[in-house]
Amino acid sequence: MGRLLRSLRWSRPPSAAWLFLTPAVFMALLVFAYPILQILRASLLDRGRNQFVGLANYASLTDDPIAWQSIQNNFLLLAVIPVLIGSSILIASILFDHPRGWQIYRTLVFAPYVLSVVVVGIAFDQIYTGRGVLNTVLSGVGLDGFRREWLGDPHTALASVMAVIIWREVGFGVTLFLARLTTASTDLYDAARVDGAGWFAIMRHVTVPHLRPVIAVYAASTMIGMFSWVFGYIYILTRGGPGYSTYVSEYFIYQSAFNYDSLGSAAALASVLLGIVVVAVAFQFSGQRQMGVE
Amino acid sequence: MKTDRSEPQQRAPIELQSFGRRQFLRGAGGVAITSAFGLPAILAACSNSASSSASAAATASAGATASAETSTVAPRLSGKSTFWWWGEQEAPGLEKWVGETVGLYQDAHPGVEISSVLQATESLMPGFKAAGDAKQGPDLQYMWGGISTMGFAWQGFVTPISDLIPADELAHIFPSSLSETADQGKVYALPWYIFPLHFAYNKKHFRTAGLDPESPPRSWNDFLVAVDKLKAAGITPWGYGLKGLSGIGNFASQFNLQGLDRPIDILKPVAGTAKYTDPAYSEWMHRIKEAIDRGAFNEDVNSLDLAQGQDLFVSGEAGMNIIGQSQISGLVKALGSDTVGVMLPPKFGSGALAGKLSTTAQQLLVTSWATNPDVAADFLKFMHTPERLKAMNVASGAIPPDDRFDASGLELAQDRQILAWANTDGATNYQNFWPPQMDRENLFLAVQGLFNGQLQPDQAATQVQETLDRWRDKNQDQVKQLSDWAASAG
Repeated sequence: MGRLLRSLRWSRPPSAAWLFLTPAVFMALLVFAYPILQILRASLLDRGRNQFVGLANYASLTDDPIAWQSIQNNFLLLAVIPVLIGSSILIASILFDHPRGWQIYRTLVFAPYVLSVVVVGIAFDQIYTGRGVLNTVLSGVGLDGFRREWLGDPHTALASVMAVIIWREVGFGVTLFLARLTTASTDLYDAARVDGAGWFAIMRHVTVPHLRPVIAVYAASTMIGMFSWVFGYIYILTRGGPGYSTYVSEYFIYQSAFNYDSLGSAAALASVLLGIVVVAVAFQFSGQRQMGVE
Repeated sequence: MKTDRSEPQQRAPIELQSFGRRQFLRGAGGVAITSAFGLPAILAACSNSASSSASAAATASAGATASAETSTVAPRLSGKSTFWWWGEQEAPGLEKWVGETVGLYQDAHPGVEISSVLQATESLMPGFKAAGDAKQGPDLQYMWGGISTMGFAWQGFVTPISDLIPADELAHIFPSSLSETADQGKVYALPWYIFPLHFAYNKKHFRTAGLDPESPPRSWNDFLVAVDKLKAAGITPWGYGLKGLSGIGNFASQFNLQGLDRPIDILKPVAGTAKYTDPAYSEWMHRIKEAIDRGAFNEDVNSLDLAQGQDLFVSGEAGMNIIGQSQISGLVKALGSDTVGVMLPPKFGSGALAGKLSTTAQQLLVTSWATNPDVAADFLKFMHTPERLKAMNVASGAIPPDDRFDASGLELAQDRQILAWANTDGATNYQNFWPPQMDRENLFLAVQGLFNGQLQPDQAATQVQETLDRWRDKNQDQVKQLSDWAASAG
């Protein structure tokens, strides 16, 4: 039967296949390609005169310190990826052992992910203020020297935003890894224990290898997120400040397009951002293939 | 920005270079005579304004006023008009007033249908930009004053209001408010209500600190003495929040014109004809640093935002704050009328604007694609009838920059004081003449740098200058428009 279907498929003329594919291809182009092409087009125009200016908008980005700072901050945000993956695996492994009340812990860990970024942002905005809970706790345990204006100090603002991202997003990673772990054979774990493997050895030689495909997907999606999905956090928590210390590409694009009427610059950075994400994801999947991760 | 000054010319241009009321009146001519027939109706409205609620009686009388005015001033109007507006966010109660005013106007003009749409803060500018690009959307549009309105006017989105509304009508508006959208002899928008920014101080705290609560500091030195005394009394002298940058414009507006004689002169360093490092522009940064070093501000100033900083005043923790006039009634409710004092910014500069009340007028404009500009303009005039002005203030606390508004009816002494300052001692907010990008990407950051210790005043001024230079190189079109604008002001 399978052979018959294959022969039927290959015996049809390509034009018929294209005929059936055309609506889907058209929709895909409309939904994905058209907006991207429009952005690329806008990046080559002077908004005011609506004239073609070649790569002038891209050139202006190169000597714009804010654009550079924005991209740099996006790359700095990538530091959350290993933290997210590591903590998600750790928590998932602990929960996988079903400690007493594990369902409650699982719910608690996942709960922040259910909250909207706005709610999380407002909550942490309060926690981080000079007289907020964090500083109060630090004072309470005798760590006055660590009191900071967490979001008001350019040296700690981005790290503080990262901490919020990790707090909210880790639940999703835990859920993903827990789901994957349920597919693992208990024989593997039993065999490892019989062989005298401790918790760390089991984690290294059994759990992580089994999770590798999910880790790859999670890392890729989080990486895309750190370039393209952090606007909400930045907008609520810092508006890019203090100074440009938390300015990210999305915020630059938003400000340029909607507040400064500089669509060319916004489109140029949006195109650069798209390029960065595509290249980064391609590199990552290429590396995974070389490591044998499907 | 696209320059297009080919807006429809429906009336002869009026010379408005300096926007004196005398010049308006000189240009009024026969229109004033025609309008005079409406005087009885306006007087009737004044008498009707004794009722401050939106009662049926007031509604009926206001409707009668509208009817009477239109029957004498304008021919029968008809058509649809769309009104995109903003303002409920800063003057709660305006939405009710707008709805009521639209209803009254439609009652008086059965052939007219006005659709009012309250805009979200974030979508006001991009929404109007998109409408302008498509040449469809609102006939009547709210816009912030100065450069915000003029940016759209230079793109051809706006029909000058001085082409639609007679000069004698405009002569009732405070000249400083009209000057915000004046260019090349035209006025582009009609000021709706003013948004003065000023200091509020806690009289009880002043008394506790040994200061005269009825005589707040007027000079910078007196201000520093007050800071010292409040601090010594255990009171945070000045509650403030910088995070999110939203309050830095309010803050800068109290100080950064003090070395200048005219608000529009702030355009000179923008246009490249002066340096921001000149003390006339940047001395205020030294004064702010002085206040910071003196411990004038709450310790967590960098991690609080504007509202949180203002909360310190509301909670009684801080002795002073910068607020908008529309917040006065809320403060009075929270702290008591006897506790809340208002004061002008302490004076240190040598310019004519030193120590003046910073104010801006929120503007209403008629779009260049409006299908019924006459309806839009007539509705604007109706909004400025004394009865409607009074009702607006009662509903929202907003104060119109219009001499037909009876200030004696203001309930709060603080509001009466602010209106008096606005009329005689007010200066247009610098933001009306300063590119928004050079706030968020420049001036605000310099102020933040001063507060978090990364910049000294001279470094901050140099940073502002260098960023202006870079911006100028990339925005030659805007620079040309702004230079022309400055030149048109003389």
